[in-house]
Amino acid sequence: MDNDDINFPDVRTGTKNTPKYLELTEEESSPFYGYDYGHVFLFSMAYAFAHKLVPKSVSGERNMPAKRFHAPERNMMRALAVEHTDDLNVIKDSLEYVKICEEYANAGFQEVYGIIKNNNFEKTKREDILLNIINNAVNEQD
Amino acid sequence: MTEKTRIIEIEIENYRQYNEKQVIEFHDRDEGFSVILGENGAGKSNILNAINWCFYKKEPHQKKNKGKYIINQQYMENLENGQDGTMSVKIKIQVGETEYHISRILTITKNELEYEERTDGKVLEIDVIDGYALPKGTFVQHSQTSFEIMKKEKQDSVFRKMEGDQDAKMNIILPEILSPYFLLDGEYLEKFWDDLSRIKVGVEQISQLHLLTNTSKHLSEFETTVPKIGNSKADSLTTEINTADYWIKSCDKNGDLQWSKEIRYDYDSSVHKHENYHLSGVPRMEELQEDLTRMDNKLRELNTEFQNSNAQLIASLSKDEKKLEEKFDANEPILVEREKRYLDTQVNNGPLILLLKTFQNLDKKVEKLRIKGELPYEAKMRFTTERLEMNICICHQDLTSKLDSNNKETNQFRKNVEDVKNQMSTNQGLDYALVMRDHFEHLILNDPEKFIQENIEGIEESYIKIKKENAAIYRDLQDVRMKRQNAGGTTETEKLQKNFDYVLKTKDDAKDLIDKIRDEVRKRRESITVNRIERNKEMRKDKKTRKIAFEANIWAKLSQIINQSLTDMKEEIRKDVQKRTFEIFLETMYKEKEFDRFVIDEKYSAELYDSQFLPSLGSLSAGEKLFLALSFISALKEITGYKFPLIIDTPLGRVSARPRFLLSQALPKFLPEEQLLFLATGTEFIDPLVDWDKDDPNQEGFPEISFAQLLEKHITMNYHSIRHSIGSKTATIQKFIPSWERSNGQ
Repeated sequence: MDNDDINFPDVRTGTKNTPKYLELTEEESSPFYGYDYGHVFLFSMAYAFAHKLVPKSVSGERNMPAKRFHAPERNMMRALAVEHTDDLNVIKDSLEYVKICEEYANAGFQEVYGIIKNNNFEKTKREDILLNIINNAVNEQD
Repeated sequence: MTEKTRIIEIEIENYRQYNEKQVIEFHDRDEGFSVILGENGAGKSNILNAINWCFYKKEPHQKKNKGKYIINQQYMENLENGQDGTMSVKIKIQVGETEYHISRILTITKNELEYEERTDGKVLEIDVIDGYALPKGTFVQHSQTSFEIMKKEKQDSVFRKMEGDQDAKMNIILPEILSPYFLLDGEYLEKFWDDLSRIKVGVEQISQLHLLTNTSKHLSEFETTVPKIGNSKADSLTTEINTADYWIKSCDKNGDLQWSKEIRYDYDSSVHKHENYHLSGVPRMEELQEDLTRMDNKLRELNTEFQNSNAQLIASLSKDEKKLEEKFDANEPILVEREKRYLDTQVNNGPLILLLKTFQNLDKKVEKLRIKGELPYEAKMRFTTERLEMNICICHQDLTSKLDSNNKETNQFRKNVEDVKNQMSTNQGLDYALVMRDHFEHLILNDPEKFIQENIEGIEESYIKIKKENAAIYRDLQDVRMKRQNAGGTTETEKLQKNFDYVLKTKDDAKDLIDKIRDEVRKRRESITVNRIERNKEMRKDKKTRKIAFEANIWAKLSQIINQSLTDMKEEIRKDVQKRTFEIFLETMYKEKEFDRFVIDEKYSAELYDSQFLPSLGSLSAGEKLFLALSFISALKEITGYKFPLIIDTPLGRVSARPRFLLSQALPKFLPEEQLLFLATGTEFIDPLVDWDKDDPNQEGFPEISFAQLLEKHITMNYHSIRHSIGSKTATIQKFIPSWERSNGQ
């Protein structure tokens, strides 16, 4: 296995989430404005894992091409899957670790989307939303 | 004309405020000064208008007469419809030893007055009928409307009507163009220096140089008037000469002046003869030059307005505002770039921080396997393959293959090593865990705090710093904008600025145009000279035309001589007037102010330089400007010998107490032979001067007496007053004795 894991599959956002992914990447008030689905996916995934959310199964088409996820991002996904399964062997199975990540991203996305949509912009500027999320998660972990 | 002109008497009947016959006797200068006192609106300016109307059928002081007709309102109202009414102004003057009775009479028939219904009530409709402002529908009785000049020479016993065109005769007795030099109002005197034409007319007309100018023009016509002679080359040259000449003179082939459609800058009928600029050549260039001075004065005026208003503060605040805006704008892309970095790091590195513990756990797992020697599997596989190929284990056990009849390995040691090799092959995929671990070690695990500092906190700090900077600039900007708003907003300043920019641009355009016209005039004159020489050569070839060429040459030489004389005389008079104006101004004016020189240049542009050699005409006070104008008129009269009375309306309108005092000391010395009549308000003339400048450096302790009393110390004063009650439609002129004389029992 190398960086160009040929078995790495296209990734799913989840049927229900896709329009919301679009919202977050196309609305100016969103911190993800101008970024792509992959950024939202990875952030949601990491958020869910940091908050120990229960992964949620994902359905729908694989709408993010594998090539969108580069080696460092794939490593992040593998690391998460290893931690989830407590088994290094999971890195040998791309379909499996991607599936785990999709489920975490699905769980995390619901909350990240809610935080962004319900943000009080008077209090928290667009550019500070994600940092607040990160800081809260880090403080909880401590 | 150098004979002394004096006004003997003015009789006004039913003109403007003056109902019934009003007679004002004028005093000779040796009898002192005359004053007619009247409050604002009483009818002082209409005495000036009455004189102008009688002499020239014009009323230059129109402001207060707007919407009113020329005949006394009460008189008009008392007329029955269909009844005739008459108004007149009659003036007796003496020029040298000749007396003139000049009378202008207007007779009308009153008809039903017409009113216009307006939202605020009905308004009488005024119309200009045959040049007279009259109620609409009024009929002018031409047979009984007249302008007549009666003349009596010293040897005559009776007055005789002058023969010929009466208006033309009037222009000989007292030329209309000179009326602004004897019928003056304070406002006019104060703005005297705003217009080059006043100085030019003063120098050229009063000194009669215009006669020489006309001669020069006529000669120049002769010079160019060469008939067609049938020689095609000569005739074609004549056409070229004429075309160039017409352009230079802005006229057509008949000599009629040609006008452009462009209106003169700040057109004012009391200053400009024509509303439009000439079409081309010298006349247009001269007009533009005159207007340049008006533009300069306007710029000075706007500058003063700028300084007097809050505009300077506003301008300074606007400057600050602009600087802050520039700073804000300069910071904006930095802020955008840092905000982008700030968001980038949150989006890209946020997940890494959120998963930091995951990476740490992965590291532990991988390290554990590595310590156990499980990793990397690839190395182990290579080792077992090598051993199997060498058929010997590192423990020296023989690994040689021993197959049975079914081709199965029987060497148990070899079989064990082969099993290990096969397992390694399956686990080889786990070796990537090492790469992953290395990746995370380098990225974050080696020093997570440093990673967070560099990728989150550092970027956040730099973003917050620029954000704060911009917020501070924005606060300052709002503050400046608020201050500017409180200082009077931008509308006034912008309006002033806009006006200033407009005048400046108009001035630049005018200068450019002058340069172009000057250049074109020069070229055309050169072409005329060359063409004339050429034409002369051509004409000399022919016997018949030789005479015409010879005459044209004579006219050209004459014209040259006259032009040179004219230039020399203008130069001489201009310099004399310049010198004498300054002398009179210094003799009589403010002693505490020092001036270096007064200059009238060849374009008739005037300037007064102070002791620091700085131009100061524009910054003179109302009193100083008035005095300089009087000095100029006085100098003109002295040099040209022209003696006519001066009638000055509201002379002290904007002159404060101190200069009034100085004026009272100086005026009696002015023009010792001329009649001087003032039309003044009581406040100006007979109320005590109380608003003394408290910063008077000399602490002279000026007396609290009136301007008239101050004058009385040096000269006899003859008083009249206009009686006019508010709301009343009539005014009468009576002799007046001031309170101080009444208390003296006089």
